[in-house]
Amino acid sequence: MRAARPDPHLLAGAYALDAVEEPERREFERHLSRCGTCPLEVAAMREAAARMGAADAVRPPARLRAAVLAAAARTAQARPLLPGRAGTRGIRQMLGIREMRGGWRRPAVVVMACAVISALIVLAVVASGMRSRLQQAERHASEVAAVLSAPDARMRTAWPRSGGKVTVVLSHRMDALVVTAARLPPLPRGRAYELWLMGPAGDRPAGMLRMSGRGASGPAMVSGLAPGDSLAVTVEPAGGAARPAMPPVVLISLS
Amino acid sequence: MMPVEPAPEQARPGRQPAADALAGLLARVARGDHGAFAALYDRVAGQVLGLARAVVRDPQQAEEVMQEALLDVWRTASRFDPAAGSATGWVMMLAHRRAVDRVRAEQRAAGGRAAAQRPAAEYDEVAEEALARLDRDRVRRCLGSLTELQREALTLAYYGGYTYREVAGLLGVAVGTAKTRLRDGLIRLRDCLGVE
Repeated sequence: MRAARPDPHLLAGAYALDAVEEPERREFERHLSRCGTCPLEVAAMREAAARMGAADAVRPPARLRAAVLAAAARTAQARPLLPGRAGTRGIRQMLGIREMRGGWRRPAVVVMACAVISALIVLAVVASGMRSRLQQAERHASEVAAVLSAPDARMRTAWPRSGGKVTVVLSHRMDALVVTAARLPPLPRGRAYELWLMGPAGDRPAGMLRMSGRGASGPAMVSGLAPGDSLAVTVEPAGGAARPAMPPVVLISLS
Repeated sequence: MMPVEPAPEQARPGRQPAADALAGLLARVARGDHGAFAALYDRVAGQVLGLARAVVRDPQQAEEVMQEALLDVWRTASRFDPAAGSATGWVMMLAHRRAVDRVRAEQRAAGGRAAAQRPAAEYDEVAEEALARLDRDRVRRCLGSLTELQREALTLAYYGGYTYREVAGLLGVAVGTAKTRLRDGLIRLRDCLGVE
């Protein structure tokens, strides 16, 4: 589309100053979610910009205080992006765990994901070429399709720091989610990607991600959600582990 | 022995106690604590209004921006991440976005506007906190240590609400140059201010 893409890092200053147009802001935020050093750099620049902003304090008229407090009293608050105990986000960041940015996407996007994932299942079955597995695959496919087509289905995508991406389609009504991955880094023989539900209810293994070549996985079904759960992907022995290896490859809030 | 009363909060040269207190207030605001929100308002409203006036100019609109920004703080307090920066920085970021959105909407409506200048020290209502005064002097001194192009670019972008492309046009430099000057100017400002 564009020739000779400029280095996205150069936009950090303009971004920290809000001196970018909306599409560029979104593009840079996508870059931020994948770049290891950028968030710290941008945070420091933001602090400097904030000091420019805080430099000329004035005394606000008293009536504004009453107006703002009254407005707050009738304004609902947004839910946190990551549930659970306060402070865990800081710890997670210290561990270098990449958290998801951005919210759940609209069902229209889910419909598209639905088509893609269904195609993946068909491909997997065709590729296996084994009639005996067809029935099992079909059952799996219908479970997956039920989640994908649930009226409350929502999709989120996360980009692990180590590369690739992980997509989750969640339906609270079905108490289940479907996980797919693409372009995950290949693992040494005997190692595999494992899914976990993590939250106040504890860490529970949620199955292995079955890879189908080039870092892509077939859709994995996860059920048994508890309130405040996040989905984690870890690297474990091929047979699975009793406890997740920390830090996970990616951690996705399911709230 | 008499129970010891908690010492009254006072402005200390170090910024840390005030910063921590604000982050603590934000955490309580995130849980829907109206008292904490009132206390947070008292700490940041002056800075938010000052920034809004610097960017949107019109006092009436600045007050509206300030109210919008503080409501943003109330609504999204749960999204504040202490690991990603200071509470003041987060609040000022929300305020700046609101202010910039406002001037850009105005600009679209009016089909352009005169080049902004850094407002002179027209605020005789002096900031009550010695801390804020200290900071202002420091910011001025640090802005003064930049190259002229860096300073002009930063000032137009932050206080004028211009995009880097507009900054390039106003300063008669290439778009890439404006982008780079904003970045290295901000890095230099950051180093001068001693921001971690």
